[in-house]
Amino acid sequence: MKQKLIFLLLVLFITTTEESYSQMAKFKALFLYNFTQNVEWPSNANQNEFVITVIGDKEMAAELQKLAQVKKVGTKTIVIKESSQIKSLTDSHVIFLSSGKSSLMSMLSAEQQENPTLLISSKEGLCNDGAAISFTTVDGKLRYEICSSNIEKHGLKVNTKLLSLGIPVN
Amino acid sequence: MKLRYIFAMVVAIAITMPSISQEKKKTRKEVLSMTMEEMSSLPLEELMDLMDIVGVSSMEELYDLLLNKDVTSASKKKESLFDSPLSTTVLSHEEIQSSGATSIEEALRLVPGVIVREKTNGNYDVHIRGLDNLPPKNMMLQSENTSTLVMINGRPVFNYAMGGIIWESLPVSLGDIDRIEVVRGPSSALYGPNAVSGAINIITQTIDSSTPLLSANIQGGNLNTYMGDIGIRKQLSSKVSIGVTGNYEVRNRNSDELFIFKEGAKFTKDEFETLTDGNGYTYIDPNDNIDELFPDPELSKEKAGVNGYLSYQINSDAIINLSGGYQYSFANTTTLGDNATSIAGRESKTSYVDLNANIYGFDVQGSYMFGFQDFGVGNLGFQTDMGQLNSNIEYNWQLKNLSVRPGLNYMSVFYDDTKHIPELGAGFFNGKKDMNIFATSLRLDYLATEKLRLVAALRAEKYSHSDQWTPSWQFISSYKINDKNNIRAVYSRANRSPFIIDMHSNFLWDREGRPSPDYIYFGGNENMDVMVSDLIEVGFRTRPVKNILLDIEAFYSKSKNFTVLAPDSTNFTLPIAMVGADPTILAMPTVTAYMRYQNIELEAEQKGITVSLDWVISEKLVAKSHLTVQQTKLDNYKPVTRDEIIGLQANAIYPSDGSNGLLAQKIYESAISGQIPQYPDMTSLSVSTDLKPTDYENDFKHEATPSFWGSVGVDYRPIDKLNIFTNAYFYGKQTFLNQYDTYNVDSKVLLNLKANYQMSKSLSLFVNMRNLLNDDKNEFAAMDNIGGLYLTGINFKL
Repeated sequence: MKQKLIFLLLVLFITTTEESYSQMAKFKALFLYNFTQNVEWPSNANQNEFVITVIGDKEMAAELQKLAQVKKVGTKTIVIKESSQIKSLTDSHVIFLSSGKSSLMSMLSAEQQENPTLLISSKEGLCNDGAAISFTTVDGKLRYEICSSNIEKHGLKVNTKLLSLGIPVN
Repeated sequence: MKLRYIFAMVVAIAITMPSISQEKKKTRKEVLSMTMEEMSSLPLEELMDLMDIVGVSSMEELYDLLLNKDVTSASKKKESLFDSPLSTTVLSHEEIQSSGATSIEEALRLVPGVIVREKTNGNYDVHIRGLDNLPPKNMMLQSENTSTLVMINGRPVFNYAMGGIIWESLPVSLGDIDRIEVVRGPSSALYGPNAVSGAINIITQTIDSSTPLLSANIQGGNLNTYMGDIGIRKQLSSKVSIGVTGNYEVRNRNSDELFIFKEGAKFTKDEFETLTDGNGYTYIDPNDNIDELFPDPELSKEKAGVNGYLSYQINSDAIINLSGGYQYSFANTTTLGDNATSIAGRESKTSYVDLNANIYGFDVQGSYMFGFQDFGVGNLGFQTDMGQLNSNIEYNWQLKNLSVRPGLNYMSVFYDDTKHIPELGAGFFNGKKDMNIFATSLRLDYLATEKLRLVAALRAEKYSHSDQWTPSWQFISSYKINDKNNIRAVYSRANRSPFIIDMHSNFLWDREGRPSPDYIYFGGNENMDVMVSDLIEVGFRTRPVKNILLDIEAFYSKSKNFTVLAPDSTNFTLPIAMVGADPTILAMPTVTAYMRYQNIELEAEQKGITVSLDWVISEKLVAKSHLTVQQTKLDNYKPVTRDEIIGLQANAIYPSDGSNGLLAQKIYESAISGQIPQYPDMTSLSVSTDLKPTDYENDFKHEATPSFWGSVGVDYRPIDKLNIFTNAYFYGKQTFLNQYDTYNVDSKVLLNLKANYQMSKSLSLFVNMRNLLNDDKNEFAAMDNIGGLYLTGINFKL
């Protein structure tokens, strides 16, 4: 009986619904790609590649990688970079910060203050720490908080559609 | 012509409808089968619609709700609970509601490290980690938790008159609450005095566009237990939101009997009125009226509260939150006085106003609470008016990796019994007595590297009665090994404020008709050192897999400078005259015991470990558990009661074995020196002693706090509409020492279950069983047998 119970607990221990978890990453990746369609980077930021750096989230990086194979941002090829740290990320158009690294957002924001970079956090409520966009869920639906001032202070322009569809944060 | 247009429109609609409805009816399966390329071509609004069809999975929501919570109380800024540098727990509104907890105190059973024992139906003892009943062998008052600071939205709701929390007098109920944040360990550096074993911050709901206009929760059951809350909340514009809430609760005890300390048994009110000790003295003070002491001994608790909330977002950098309310409460629970019974009534009628603003980086808070509090219903002297002002200003300055948070705090509290006593001298305070505390603080939070965080929080209190500054601090380092593992180490000190009664007690108890002494004087003392506690703690938080959060904290604390009301001296005064050559006592001596608040040498040393595990097993099943194991030892402990000290002093003056004591010696000396006149003249002879026992015990095992306690629970959702929460709260045996006896309280397991069925989006019905196996052992020394409570109710949201 005891052994059965332990076995049952072990089964439960390793059982999670990975499918639904990756759906979230997939949609976050799609949202992120859509964000890039509604934000304008300054001309001096233009390079041949559109660089999205993902910090601390392998699933998100994998989903973005799939997108990068079929999509471009304007004429630029999308390049997905992964990083485990926030330093020395100088050439990124977008930096996505995982939930697990959310405590580093204010540091990341300070690091990137001179760069034309869109800072996106997987965790809600990080606009106060410098994030331009923070993913959130409302009533079981994926939504995003958006702070226009945090976008503009990096020299980026955001269109009204992206602002109106998000939850504005001041 | 018009008909043709109408016809054309109808046809057009008929043609387009299927395609529209087809779009709308796209199934989740169809959405999931779409390729990345297809979806990436859609505009954002359509993509959002598709995401809504797929929905955030229950697992995702559970991860967010249970494992990715935010907390603000540990650092005074919002941060991930996983990154919190202190031992911290957040209980969300949903968790509390799902658990079936019927009060804030009961909900705290879900919090690791918090020991919660029910005294009478709905009235609880709540301690963080323990440190209760210190010093032992004293009044029941010493069992109150005077070392945890409870706040509502950062506003202290602490009983500064006598220490502790008058839980039933909190104006809010579970329906008001968004979450409860609990910080374990000394936190005076963050929140000021009395956050010694920790701080509990009850945070009320914010009102936004998703807030239901009307919400209500009503339940009722056995023991005449009924409770309900209702709230009307509305966001009027993007800048303004308002809300009004109300709550009411009534509960009966499972008995109308009263426990009499000196009999060690329970009696009815009528029996108590005539009950006498071996010498024929009634246990009830002849000056008291039993119907005033116990107007309804069967009533356990009755409380009501109304609260109003207003939020105004001035601009993007300024928001003001204003709240105010009124509460009435009555509870029959552990006595705060020196009664013959373990139970006494207490009553509160208070109001508050709280202004909380964040303006251009400044956090500003000002609150005032005022009203009437009766700490011993029917017992003259316990009735008092009160007022408490709190003001606080802090500024958060973010300098790249360094957060600097300076602050100033001022608190002023008064208690005034003038209106409630027939003459000065009949009360405890005998007038308006106050205490002011000024404090300055500085918190530095430095992210040295991406993994290493260093925090230093310093605060100094200046109490109005003292010239000295009292410091408190927290030094913390946390190291995030990786995203899944975080270790922390804390060294902190906190202090407990003096209480008004400690400093200003001024009461002479005329004990006519009661056993000796004839009078007991209770005197305050403004020159005591404040109680302090030092803590060293290490903690480890890990998410070995996505669905598990494990938190382990090991703590060691040392507390000293405890204060106690203890006998200072005993005095015999008697009329005496020389009758011939013999000094002759003309009447029985008047015996007065002088009690005074004083520091004692006692030191309490506690070590323990708390483990908590949150486990999202599947979308339908979530398990949460916690366990605390602790040991408390006392050094410099004098195991004597008040009566034993008075007896020692009385015996030194007038030995019961007939030998010569201080009185005989004084009579002899006075007679020799001719100070005693010949009868019929006489003189008054006064003899005092402050003799004290000198024996201390070290390494005394203090067992008022159980050596272990915890909770194991699962939240099961077999179908979307049905939610079943069951948990077992358990604790080990304990030994409680007061001035009358030693009380052994057995270990207990409380099995609780709430089943909630969602009838519609707005309405759910539930059954709620607390202690469903009806184990009716008492949970607290000398208090009621607590049996099962079976409730049914509805929850409504519109």
